Amino acid sequence: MSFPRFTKHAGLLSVLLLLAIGGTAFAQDATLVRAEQGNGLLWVFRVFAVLMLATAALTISVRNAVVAALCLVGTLISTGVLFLLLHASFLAAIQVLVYAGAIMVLFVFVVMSVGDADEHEIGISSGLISKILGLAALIGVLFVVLPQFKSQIVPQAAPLADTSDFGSLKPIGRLLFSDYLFPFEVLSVLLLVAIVGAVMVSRRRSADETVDQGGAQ
Amino acid sequence: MIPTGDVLIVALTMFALGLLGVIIRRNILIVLMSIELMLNSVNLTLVGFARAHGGSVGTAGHGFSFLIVALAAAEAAVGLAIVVAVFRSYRTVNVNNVNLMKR
Repeated sequence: MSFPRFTKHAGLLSVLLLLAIGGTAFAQDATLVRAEQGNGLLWVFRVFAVLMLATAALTISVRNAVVAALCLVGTLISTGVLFLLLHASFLAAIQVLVYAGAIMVLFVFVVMSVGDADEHEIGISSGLISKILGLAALIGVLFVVLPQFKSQIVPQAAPLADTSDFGSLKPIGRLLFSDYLFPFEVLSVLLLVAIVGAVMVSRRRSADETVDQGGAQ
Repeated sequence: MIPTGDVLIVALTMFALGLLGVIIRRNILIVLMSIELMLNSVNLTLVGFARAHGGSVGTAGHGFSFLIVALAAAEAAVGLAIVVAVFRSYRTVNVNNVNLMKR
């Protein structure tokens, strides 16, 4: 039974979540008031970047899948804060609504319905090869690619005017319904296919058989 | 102002964490969560570059990022349906025990 373990982490997690939610409000406030002046926003960025990476690391390292899902919620909300700091207010709202709301509810629902019968045996993979491969991928990516990012190739942002509607719903909506209309419609068909496919895949096999028997009789 | 390089570093680190999770974890659900982490870091990269470029190019980046969020929702729905189907026949979510097409 993993419930006691969950309660042990619950306090820490709720503090992290509250911090993320409070930070969302603060970041929005700071974005509106200070409009990219000084390096206060840089500190907000650093705090939430660290929070995001810490909760991401917890997501892949804790054993309890429910705790991992809650840590992932923390990651996604922190990413929403970073979106706000990068003037992507529409995407920040979408991030919280779709990711932290809908997708994570789906995850938690499945985690809880699948149950944790054999959870204590399922931790980090015991194979040495996969551990070495994983760590090599992490270290390789971090130390080979990272130094490139401080070079001159990376474009730097220019200050935005206070009246700019960059990242708000209006320009994105105009673009999605003019230049990107076809991908947008294809995506709506894809979502429909995904819904039908999810129902088909997860339907009960025994119910299917009884229906067939009923048809045969 | 937030340097684009810092955004890229954070996004890359999160992508690497997601990749690590896919490789070393055995719980299917956590593997799916790691895939969500990777998609999320790609979104962060797109938004960072959109901020750096600004204007209509940046707005196109936001639109693309929006499409990725919808794609992630579809992927999560299908993936979790497969997890439910696998759990129904195998009674486990350990990827090492799932090695047959039919059972």
